Amino acid sequence: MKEKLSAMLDGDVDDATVRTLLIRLKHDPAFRNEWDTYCLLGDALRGYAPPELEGFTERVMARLENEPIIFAPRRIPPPIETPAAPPDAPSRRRYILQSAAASAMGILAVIGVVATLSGSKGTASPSPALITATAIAPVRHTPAIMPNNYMFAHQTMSGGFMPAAIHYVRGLSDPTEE
Amino acid sequence: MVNIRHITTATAKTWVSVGLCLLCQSSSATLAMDKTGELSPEGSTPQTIQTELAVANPMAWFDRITIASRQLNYVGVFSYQTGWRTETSRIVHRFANGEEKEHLEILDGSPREIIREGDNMRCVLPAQRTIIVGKMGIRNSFPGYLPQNHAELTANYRIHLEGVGRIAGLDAQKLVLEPRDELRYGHMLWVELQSGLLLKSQVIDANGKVIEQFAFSDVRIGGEINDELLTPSVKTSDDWHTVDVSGDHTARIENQWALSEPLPGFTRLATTQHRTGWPLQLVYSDGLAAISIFIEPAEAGINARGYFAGGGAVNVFERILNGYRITALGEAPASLVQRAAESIKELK
Repeated sequence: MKEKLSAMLDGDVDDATVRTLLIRLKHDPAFRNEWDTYCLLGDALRGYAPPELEGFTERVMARLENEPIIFAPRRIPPPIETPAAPPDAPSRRRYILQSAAASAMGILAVIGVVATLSGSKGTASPSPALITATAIAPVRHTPAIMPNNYMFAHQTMSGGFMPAAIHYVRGLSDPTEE
Repeated sequence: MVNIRHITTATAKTWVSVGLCLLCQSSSATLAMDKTGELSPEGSTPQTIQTELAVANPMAWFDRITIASRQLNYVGVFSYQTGWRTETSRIVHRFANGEEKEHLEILDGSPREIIREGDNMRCVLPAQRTIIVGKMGIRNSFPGYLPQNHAELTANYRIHLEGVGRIAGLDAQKLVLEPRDELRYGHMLWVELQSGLLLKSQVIDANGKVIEQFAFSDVRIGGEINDELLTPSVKTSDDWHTVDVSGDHTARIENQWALSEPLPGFTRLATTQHRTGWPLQLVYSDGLAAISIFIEPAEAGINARGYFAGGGAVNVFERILNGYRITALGEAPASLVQRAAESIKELK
């Protein structure tokens, strides 16, 4: 399993394994500590060793507790026929975030895979240096309609073969239930 | 990063095997449809329909699916599976006096339910003390818009029948929609032979992997549906938050937004202005998959959040453009959803 963790840091595992690892990271504190150690080692080797890492994950987690994150982590497939990502964007490690793995999210942030959080085309991607808790907290905003509502509005307009109400199950999936 | 050549090869392998199966497809399926192509009203049962017709044309099946899902009475339990998560729901559907009533309860996790009466949808989220209400848009303007827009479907998907399988104890014809490019997902459908009710549906990505599945595990088709089964089970109170996502779906609203380059195979299906101050919604469709682009003023200093997984086959991409938040959302590959968001421009 440790080998897989290391491979995940290198971006060398498939989606299914990433999911398995993220789930275990979420539920297994000891495993999470292993991950922290790997990250710390990597940071130290790259000269990013922060002055104070003690309790970092816990602090990040505390911040995340109150954040309204809707979605769960998932690796993004490579773009097809889309403009190339900025050269400094760590495109091989694009993840998207969901509340189901808020714990993993704090950890992932440490290794700088949050590019997609701020990464619309033309904006600067975050460097892979240490990212502070403040920087990784999702932007809190109050859009006119929240994602559930976007989904609902979309489903009223989209086609598909299933009976109407079944479409809405997509938007209503409970990310806290696994 | 997944090698694109690898994807192409994997996809080709998947669909070659599908094509081989086509050669040995069964054409013994029968249609339970009258001569006008419509099921009779009042919650028809298969037994009421006399005409039998060998169906080798997949398009006829799509018509059957649409009609059956709207005009049959049925009660069933189905699972919704995406990634590693599975949720079970119960659906009750009644067609009487020309109007549909539907009650869907999600049985796992926090209780959530959807009630539909005709065009009116009501979604109850007790954990959030929220009710989302909306009106059915294009879907319900049958037969004006159907996923069975045949020309568009065949332009974007290779469609064929496979053999007859068994789902929830019922014989089901399998249909395959193979995407003609990697800008859309593949679909596999299993349709109950006698009634035309869709029993199982899978969405397949470019690697040939099932990324989303709906499947009945148990279903009763036909028969009476009493009011009790359609009664909401969650009690709400007046202090719950109500969100109305109804928009003006009927008028094609002139607007200042368009795609700078078209999404291949997709055409603009609708433009919806939600109530004042709410997002403009542009809907594009390839005959089956739809992508919505929501446009609304962004708060000052806001950052776009990039990719999100919307659940199952749905992907979401958000960006900020000249003070507007652009949110593209659809049952299409993430790359295409991003492309939609990045192609949108304000017309001067």
